[in-house]
Amino acid sequence: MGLLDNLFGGKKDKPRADFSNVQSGSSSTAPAPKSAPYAAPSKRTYTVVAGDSLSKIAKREYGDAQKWPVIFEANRDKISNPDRIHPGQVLTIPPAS
Amino acid sequence: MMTRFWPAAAVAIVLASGACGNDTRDTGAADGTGTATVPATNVSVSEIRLGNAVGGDKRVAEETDDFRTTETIYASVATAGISPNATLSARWTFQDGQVVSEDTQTIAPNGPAYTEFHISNPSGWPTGDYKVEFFLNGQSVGSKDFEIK
Repeated sequence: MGLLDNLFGGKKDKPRADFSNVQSGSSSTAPAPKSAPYAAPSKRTYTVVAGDSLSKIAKREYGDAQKWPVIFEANRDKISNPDRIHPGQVLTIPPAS
Repeated sequence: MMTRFWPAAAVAIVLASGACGNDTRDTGAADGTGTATVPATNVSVSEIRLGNAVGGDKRVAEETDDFRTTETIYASVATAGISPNATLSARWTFQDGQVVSEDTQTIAPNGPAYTEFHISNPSGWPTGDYKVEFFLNGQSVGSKDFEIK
């Protein structure tokens, strides 16, 4: 097979054409599609008042006191102990998952 | 009376169902899976031209399929129809199947429009046969062969 290839010039690797410098582009008279309107994140904030607890806030915000961990996780930088929040603290209230 | 009416009514029903058949062409995938997503668009390609220049209207005025190694190759695609979002792609290939370039233009045409694609090679084009194929929303809508000498 190698002999035949040599005789008839088969299987000689031609160098592949180099298109690495090709530049391309496109444009149109048609307008571009409108991008989807920006949806602002539906995060809210809540300022803690005396007598508040995370479960009370969760009950008020989500209608479910058991969802307090959602608020706790979103405010880890402000709350070290979920049982201790202070009046005046501004908490982020993420959308209920 | 009924027996005379029946054949005419039958012909009318057959003709009507034939017309419906044309309106509800199978838009499934070519491989028969029937899972192709056909976007809500009624855009179609009405003209493809190759040349070495486009005008301000994005249309190739003088068509050619022979180019020199230093030229920029332009392709203009005319579309008709309206769509809020359609993608028009050009795939340029060399004679050995190598993809030279691939470009996509996203458009929202509200009537007849021209879209141009172009390629250039500062190093000079290898001589040989080339092809450019166009796709509208992923479906091939035509191609043009050309030669660079």
